Amino acid sequence: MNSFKVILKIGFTAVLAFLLQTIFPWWSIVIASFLIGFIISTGGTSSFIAGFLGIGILWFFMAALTDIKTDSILTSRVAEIFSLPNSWSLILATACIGGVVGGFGALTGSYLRSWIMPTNMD
Amino acid sequence: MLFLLSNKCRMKMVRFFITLIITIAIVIALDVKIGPIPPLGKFLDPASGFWANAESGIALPKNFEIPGLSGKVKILYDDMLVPHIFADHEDDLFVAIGYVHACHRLWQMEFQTHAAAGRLSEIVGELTLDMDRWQRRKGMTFGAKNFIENMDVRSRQLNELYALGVNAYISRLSYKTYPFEYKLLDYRPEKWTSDKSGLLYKFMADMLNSSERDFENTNFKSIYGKELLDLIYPDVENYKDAVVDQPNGWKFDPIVKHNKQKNINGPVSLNLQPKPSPSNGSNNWAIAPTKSATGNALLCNDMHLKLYMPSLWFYNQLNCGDINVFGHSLPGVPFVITGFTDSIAWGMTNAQRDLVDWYKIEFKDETRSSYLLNGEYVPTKKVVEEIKIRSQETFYDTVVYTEFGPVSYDPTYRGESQKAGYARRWIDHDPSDAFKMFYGINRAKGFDDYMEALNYFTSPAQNVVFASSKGDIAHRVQGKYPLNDYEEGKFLKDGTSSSNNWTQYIPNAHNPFWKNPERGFVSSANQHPADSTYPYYVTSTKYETYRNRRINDVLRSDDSVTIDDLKNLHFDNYSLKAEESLPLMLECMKGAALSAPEMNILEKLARWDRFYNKGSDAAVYYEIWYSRLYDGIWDEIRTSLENDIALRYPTDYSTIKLMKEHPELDFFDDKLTDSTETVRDLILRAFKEMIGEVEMLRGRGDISWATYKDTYIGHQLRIGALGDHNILTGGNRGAVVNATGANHGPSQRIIVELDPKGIKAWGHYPGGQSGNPGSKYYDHMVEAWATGHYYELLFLTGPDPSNPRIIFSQTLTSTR
Repeated sequence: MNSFKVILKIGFTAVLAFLLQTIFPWWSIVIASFLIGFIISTGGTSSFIAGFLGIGILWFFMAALTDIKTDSILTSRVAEIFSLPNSWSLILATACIGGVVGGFGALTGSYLRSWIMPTNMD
Repeated sequence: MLFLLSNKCRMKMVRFFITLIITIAIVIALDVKIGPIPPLGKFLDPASGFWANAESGIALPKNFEIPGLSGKVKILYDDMLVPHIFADHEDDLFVAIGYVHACHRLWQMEFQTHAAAGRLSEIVGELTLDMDRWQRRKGMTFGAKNFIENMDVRSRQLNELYALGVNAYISRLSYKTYPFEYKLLDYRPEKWTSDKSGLLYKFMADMLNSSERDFENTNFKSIYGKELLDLIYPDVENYKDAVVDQPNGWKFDPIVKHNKQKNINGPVSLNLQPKPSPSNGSNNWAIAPTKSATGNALLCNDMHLKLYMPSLWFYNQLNCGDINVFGHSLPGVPFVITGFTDSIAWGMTNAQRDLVDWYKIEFKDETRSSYLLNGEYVPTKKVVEEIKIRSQETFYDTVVYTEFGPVSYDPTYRGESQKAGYARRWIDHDPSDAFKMFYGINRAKGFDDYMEALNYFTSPAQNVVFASSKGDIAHRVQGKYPLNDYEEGKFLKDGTSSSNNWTQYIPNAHNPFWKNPERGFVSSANQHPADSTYPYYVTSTKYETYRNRRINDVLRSDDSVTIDDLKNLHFDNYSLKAEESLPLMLECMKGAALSAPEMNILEKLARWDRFYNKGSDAAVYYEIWYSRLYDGIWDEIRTSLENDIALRYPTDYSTIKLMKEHPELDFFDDKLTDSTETVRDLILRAFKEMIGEVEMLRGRGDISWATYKDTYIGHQLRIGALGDHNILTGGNRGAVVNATGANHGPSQRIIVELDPKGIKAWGHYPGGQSGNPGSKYYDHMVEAWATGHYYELLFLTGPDPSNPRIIFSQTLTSTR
């Protein structure tokens, strides 16, 4: 049950973040993960993981797709600027940065929920 | 309230707020630039961050609306991403050029104008403060202001139309569509103004026309005497193969100088700002129909500058009414700078001359409020320069102006004393009609149009080569040149008398020029403008003595010049310098005790054909040997420079001549040793040093000229990853026609055949049409440039999208 909820959260976070990003700047991902973290209740840790993976996976696929579509033309140069060994490490770094923001956003959302809408479980 | 909450609830609230604060802190930290690191969240965001700059094809809209256009503009892109712009109204054409340049090169246009205006610190921070101060103190901004304010009405209109096009592009940008470098440095483009075209043009003039050695000559004269100065730094090293070579063919009465000049004595101890690279130069030549294999006139040009990404140049074709021109634009300036129309072609090389003079100013006191002029103290004009620095307080620099120009060095900047300063007089402080010349030559149909257009060209002085489909060829050394007495301008001048200022200029009609000379070709390579019978005194930091002779040798020996011959001449790697120095160096090695490997290298050098070809190892041996020798001879100069007494390094031509003709010179003795060295000793020592270095190189693999030279094209921000590296190509800076050095060389190469049935042209440049490092067009021509492949340049007669080379077409219209 709980793991199903987590997968659901990952999916909703990714979709909502993707939609928000078509209009708003990059930090809209934090809104997405916060809202999903707030709406779907799970524990703190699993919220963080769901937020991290939701945004992380989204950013990973968006970056990887761009990289493949453009033959790493810019990725390889930017990876070198950051002293990273290759394009894939830059894609992973991108996913991690997004993931951390998403994770904390989701954690904040779930903590807000558990504060203002306490359940018996807490 | 808090005490009403349960302990558990309070805990949860605190937990929430702490996480909220951490989250907000992370988002903020990833949204701002920290040191050199771009804002990571913003920058790495795959939706709008740098990823959005990666392109798989052409990322341009098919239709674009620009308010203010009078009609439609058709832009056809060919397979090299060269835009061919067709407009119904001339005004629209210039709007479209602005739009097109911005589409591909906005970042560099703005960055270079910021550099020219001394505004880099706004973007980069304190790192560039000294550079920014210098731009303002040397009169860059002063000159640009004079240029812009005094421009003719039409040129100013064109700049405004161009700005309209650039701003139409900028106004549609969002963070997602900002050019890559804006994201990397985290700033945004500002509105383009018509003034910026003037600034950018001055940036170019500064690169080409600001070389001088007044401090250095003054110092040398006072330390070593006039006789040695004349011997080591003669005004003319070799008159052979001057640009215009027509002894006693000067059919005018030279004007006479009214004022006598007064210099000051040195030495002057100042930490001088660096000068433009002495390798900035170019080659150009034109072949008459009589010497051309096809019977059509031919024209070639290659301009030697520091190699940069994004490229300095941008190919475009402009078409409207009587304008139909193709060639190299300087993004930021609304014209074709060099190229061809449907009837003529023109090319440029720098026409060096002493166009900067320095005047020693005597201030009344350290307030710099007045200075001595014609026997009395007169007030200076003070201008407070506001230099904004990124995330720091604004820096205010007070620059003092005199009758001669801005005082660049004074007590507040690298000064010598509390009451002295040095005012800089630069030809580019003056207004100029240069844009009128481009406007004219972009529509030129024949020889008369070329001559008429050039009459407006004052700066930066250029050797402008010409060829037409009618079969005319010509060369004109054109610029605004101060009239100088013998030796005037070589030394620091006395700034206490107005009569020392520039007052007269050589009339245009007296500038060296010739048309259809009997020999069947004209050429220039930054050498002396005219033969020894030219009646005016001419001096410069350096006149080329090798490339010009080699080009003319090759052209003289070829009576049926083909396009392939011209390509070969562009890529000619022969070194006259090696021809004229190596025999002496080898001669001095006779009788020296050498090991077997040393003998081997010596034999290879003796057999060397003196071509700086890609695979040559002997070229590496010679290059190292000669440069160690050179350093050994002129160690006195280096020591003096280290002590802030500026001296200039003698040319290779002069160095080689002195070794042969004046081996007794004291410079050949190394002062650090007790014994007295001779030229022979220095040559032997340099040889041993070379052997040591070669052994080190051997440890890293096979020795070849291209790998040793290791040519690269660096990004303007000096970020390694954004440049192209390890380019294997022949040639060398300095004495070789193919002047490709490590990071300096041909910034473009073009060959034009002036076929009356339709002009044909071939070319390439070291970079690509796009300024975006995320585009395959960013460096698509680099390989051709390095290997000698030429692209045929597409020249359209009309906006015909069915041409097989057209890959994309775009329409600009006004907003409905």
